[in-house]
Amino acid sequence: MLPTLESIAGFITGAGIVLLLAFIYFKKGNKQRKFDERYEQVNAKAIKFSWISTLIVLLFMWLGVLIYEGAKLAFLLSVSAYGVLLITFGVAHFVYNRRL
Amino acid sequence: MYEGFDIWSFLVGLPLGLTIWAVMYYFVWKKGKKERIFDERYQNIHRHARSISWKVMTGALLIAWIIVMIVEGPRLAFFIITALWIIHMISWGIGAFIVNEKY
Amino acid sequence: MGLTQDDLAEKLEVSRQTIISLEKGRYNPSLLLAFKIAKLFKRRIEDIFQPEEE
Repeated sequence: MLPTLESIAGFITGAGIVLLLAFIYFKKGNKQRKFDERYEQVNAKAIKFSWISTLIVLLFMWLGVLIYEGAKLAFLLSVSAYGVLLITFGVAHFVYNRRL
Repeated sequence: MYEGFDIWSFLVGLPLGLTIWAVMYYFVWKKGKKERIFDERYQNIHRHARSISWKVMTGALLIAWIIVMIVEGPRLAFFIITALWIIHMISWGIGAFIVNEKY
Repeated sequence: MGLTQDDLAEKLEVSRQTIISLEKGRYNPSLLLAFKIAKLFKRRIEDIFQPEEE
């Protein structure tokens, strides 16, 4: 099934609205010095929680998809997402270890 | 392409993988503990690395989503990516909320 | 004080890599670690660490 012109238009409109809202939010937040070091710490901890949740979910997801559907698109995508998560972490760890 | 899933081979591979991984993890952890590797600088690096990895994942999910929509339409892969995106975002929101309350 | 990097790392309960990074001025220690270092050398924090002038 190919996407229709309407669905692409909807997608672009949605993305545009989100970008606009994000822009306003960051501009306003910057003015109020929202993104200070406490914010960074809070965000880092939130990301840690989210990263671990995503990793666990992905692990079960690609196993589940492999059993349910075999090695098709859904499996390849979830396995590559799993790989992306782990490999980027490894590379970033290596780079920061040299820099810090 | 690979279609069948041999559950028995999987059940042999699984404990093997887990054991090797656990043994390696234990030795690295033991050696690291001795050399006080897991100090605040290590945690800092870890935090940065995770942050980068999370952001790359967010971008990758968005791109994968668009590709799936074009290639396959609303089938399993699409719903999986959607679910993943929601979990990725909601867990971040919940995490931010909890930490914000605690600090 | 005649301390090696290893001795210092042990006293401060951090890794040797952290000491190397601190000496090179690449790593910003937490306030807690900065206090520990100051206490060990019997100095004030601002005698050991200076903020980067912008």
